[in-house]
Amino acid sequence: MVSGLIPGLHPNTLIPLLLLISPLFNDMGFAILLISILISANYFEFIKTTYLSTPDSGDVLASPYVQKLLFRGKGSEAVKLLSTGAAGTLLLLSIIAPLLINFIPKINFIVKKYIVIALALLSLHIILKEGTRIGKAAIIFTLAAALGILVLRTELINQPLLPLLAGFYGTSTLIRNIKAQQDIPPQTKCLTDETSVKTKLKGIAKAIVSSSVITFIPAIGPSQASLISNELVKTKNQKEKLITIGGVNTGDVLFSITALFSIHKARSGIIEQISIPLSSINYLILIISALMAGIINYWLVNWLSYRIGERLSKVNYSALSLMLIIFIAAVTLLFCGWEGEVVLLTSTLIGLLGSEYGVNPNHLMAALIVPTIMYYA
Amino acid sequence: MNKLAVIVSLLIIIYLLTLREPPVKEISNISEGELVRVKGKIINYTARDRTTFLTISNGNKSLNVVFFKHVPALTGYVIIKGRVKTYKGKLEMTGVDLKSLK
Repeated sequence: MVSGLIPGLHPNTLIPLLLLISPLFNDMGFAILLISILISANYFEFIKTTYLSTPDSGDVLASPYVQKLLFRGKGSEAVKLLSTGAAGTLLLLSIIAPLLINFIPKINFIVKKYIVIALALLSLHIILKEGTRIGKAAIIFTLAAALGILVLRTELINQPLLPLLAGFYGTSTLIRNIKAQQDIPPQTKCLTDETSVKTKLKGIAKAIVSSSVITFIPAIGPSQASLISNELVKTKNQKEKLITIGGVNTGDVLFSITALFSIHKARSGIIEQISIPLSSINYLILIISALMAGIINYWLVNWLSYRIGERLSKVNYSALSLMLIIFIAAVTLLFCGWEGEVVLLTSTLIGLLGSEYGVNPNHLMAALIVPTIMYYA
Repeated sequence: MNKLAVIVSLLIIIYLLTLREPPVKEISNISEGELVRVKGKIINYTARDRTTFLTISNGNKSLNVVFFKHVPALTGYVIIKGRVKTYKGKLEMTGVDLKSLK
């Protein structure tokens, strides 16, 4: 919960602390704890993304949509859609993933072969979609790509994703909120579920496909994978997009567990700490643990979401936004040093420029996509 | 105005990258998170799947270095620039640049 709610924190940053308490558990107990932490963090990040405008790398693409819902008084609906994606993906993947365990090595080979072409075509497609604003889109894409290459391929700073994505999608959004002098309107409780089953299933299916891509291609993150699936299978349905984005990170956890047992590769720092025999029984125990954590967190996050939204609607949001900007700057300084602050400033300016141009915020993903293309080319 | 500010800040980052050279340190004197240059003799080299794994040693201590790109096989003493990280409880370096000392 802590790493999910606090901007800049990720479960991987808690590893040193977790290793300190690991002697209190046996190996299986510790593995279950790690999986539960990952699942819980995923769910609580939805609250951070929606109400604090500080998305993590997995939820950045949700930012424009949840902002719209928040300022229509529907913040809890945004969290519900994201958490529905997470829960649905978890449920479906718990059944599918064990059946895929033998196919993963073969799929791994095919996906790696075509990922460069897919990403290059995707980037071109997103720019061309802008119509009369192609020039401006190309400028934002190029600036974001340049920053991504400078930061991600040179080890200029520690933990480069933090200032990069916080600037693109966090601080730039917060600055716009301050300029707009907009307070969060009173929030309505999301009592009924008006999303159709078809929308949910389509969103979850895309989340499962996206999260499988992340597992096979280490350089691809949840945001690039969500972008691929949302562009390849077009939809104007924003609810479906949020369900997909909500499901991708959680799907990644389950696929990571499956990849650990199938091809013996850990996809994240937390999964690497799992040291139990890689047997079918242990695999199923972890899957069931993830499922139980998902069910509990689904209810907890949605219960909390409305209450947080209600309190925030009584707060001066501009002042809160300013405090969050200062907090992000402080976290960046702590983890990344003053060079990280320069990157944060640059990414914030690029984010603001993109908003000024009125182009799709997806172009900012060039910061991750272009270095990935360079790596695999 | 925003475009100009972006270009200026990108130039600052390029300056940080090209003109700033981290200090050369001993392998036994490095700590997690820092960007350093270390000197050592290559005692192990493996390259696979766009990744190069090296081990360098100063006689007393060794350090594993990972490059996420192909680095040609070298022998002898080198200076490697990179960022120190922890992997499975041990210090390791993500390499950025390598210079042979011949």
